[in-house]
Amino acid sequence: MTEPKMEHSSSPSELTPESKQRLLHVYQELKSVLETEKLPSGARASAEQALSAMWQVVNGLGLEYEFLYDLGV
Amino acid sequence: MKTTAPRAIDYWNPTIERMPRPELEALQLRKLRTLVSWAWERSDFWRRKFSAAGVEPANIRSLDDLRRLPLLTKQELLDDQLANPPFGTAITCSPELAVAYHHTSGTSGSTPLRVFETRRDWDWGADAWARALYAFGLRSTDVVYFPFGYGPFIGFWGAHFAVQKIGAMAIAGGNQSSEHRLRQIIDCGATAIVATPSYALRLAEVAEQLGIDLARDTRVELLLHAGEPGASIPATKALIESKWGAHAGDFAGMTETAGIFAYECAAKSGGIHISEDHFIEELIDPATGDRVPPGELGERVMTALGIASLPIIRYRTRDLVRRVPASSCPCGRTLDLYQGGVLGRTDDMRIVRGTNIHPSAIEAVVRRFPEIREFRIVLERIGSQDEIAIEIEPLPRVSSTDAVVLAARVGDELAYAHEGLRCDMRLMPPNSLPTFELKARRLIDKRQQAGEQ
Repeated sequence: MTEPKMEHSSSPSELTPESKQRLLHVYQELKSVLETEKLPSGARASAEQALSAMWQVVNGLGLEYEFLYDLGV
Repeated sequence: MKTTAPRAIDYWNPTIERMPRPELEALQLRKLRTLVSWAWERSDFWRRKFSAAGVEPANIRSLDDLRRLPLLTKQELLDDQLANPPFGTAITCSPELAVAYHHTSGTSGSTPLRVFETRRDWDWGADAWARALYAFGLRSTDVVYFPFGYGPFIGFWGAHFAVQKIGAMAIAGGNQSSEHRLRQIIDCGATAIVATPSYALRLAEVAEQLGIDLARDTRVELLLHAGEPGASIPATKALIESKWGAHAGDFAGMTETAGIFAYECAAKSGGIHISEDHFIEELIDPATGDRVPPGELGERVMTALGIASLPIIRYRTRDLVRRVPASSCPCGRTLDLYQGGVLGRTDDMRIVRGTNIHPSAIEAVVRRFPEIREFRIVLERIGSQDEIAIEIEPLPRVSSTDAVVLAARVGDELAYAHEGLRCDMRLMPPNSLPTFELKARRLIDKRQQAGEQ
């Protein structure tokens, strides 16, 4: 096979502190909703899915690391 | 239009994949301390285990303190599940939170280890896979075919969800014949295949029988391999790539942790990058338990940071690997690599007349001969001596005269690679050796079987 060329992407490697703060806020807000709101089953499942997805974001950026089993996620 | 040009080098998570080593190690320590505290607080199994070793979470102040924690074996988890079915006492949350269930392949014929994943666990596993597949060049425009049976063995389940996460099209091949799967690969315009190396070769063989030239008649550009070390064995990789006219990449994961711990990137440097933010990996001498220095062969000991429903801390994997620094690959990642992928397993290694035999080392020689359809290693005790036989099945087009010459050539190469050890080369009739969709089993140790009776 052809040898790879060293083509690197131009995607951003570092977010601004403001961007990180916004993402953390979304994550914390979702946690708060699941902790405090009594949601219908469908809404709760979707909120859990959203929280799980946001966990991947904040964990992936090294911003937050914790387990969500107590929230059912 | 199919292209054989390599995919561009890019990063799913540049923050982590290019993180300076001191920051990466600080992140690992933070995660390790959280995981150890969690296991201590939530699991009887782990509290007992740590207490027996005289250690508690407060003792973990540096990555070096990891060594104070006891090693974990699969047998311990199996014994715990046997005594406390179905999931044992090492778990830290209710199985009612599970959205997926898998079990190990039961390699040695024993009871499989049962594992469940919660919603976050499962998403994490998919994300770990997505990072790996993206690194090898998979993009949202790809069409990915899974010639995979989708059972309780984790196999390519994680890769399936990862492909969807990337935004590519995932096509489940399911329980169909190889011929039907090949038709779909062509009809759907698949650009990538996820399979074991053995099954990619099996599909190539069926394609030849059907008059299909995979390099010409399909759009497949990427072959994404896991479950066996073949894609990092140079001869096997070259054979697969030549038959498909596509790039073959190696990805290594484990059922116990749902995610990929190491992956090949588009630079194809001959190693697989370790996902070091998700896993802390140590290498030990399997006999003494002492750590081995970088660059030397050792048994991989894994601490999984991504999943804590079943904490996996200092787990003896039995995988044999050789760790090299990130600078060994030109892709720009700061993640170290396992040179040559997973090189073998401590429980696969056999000794024949004083010579170490690894199935992957045998494969590395046999696959240099593309005239061989399949092979198998048979170990026997004849009289008072151990004997090794290599059963080889040439392709049907190889004449019987040429087959005899072929067997002799393979035997010579095997002896050269194994300190002069002579193998009994056995020619097998067409279609007599088994082919495999998942983990290939090419080692038959009749000495062990006789001893077990």
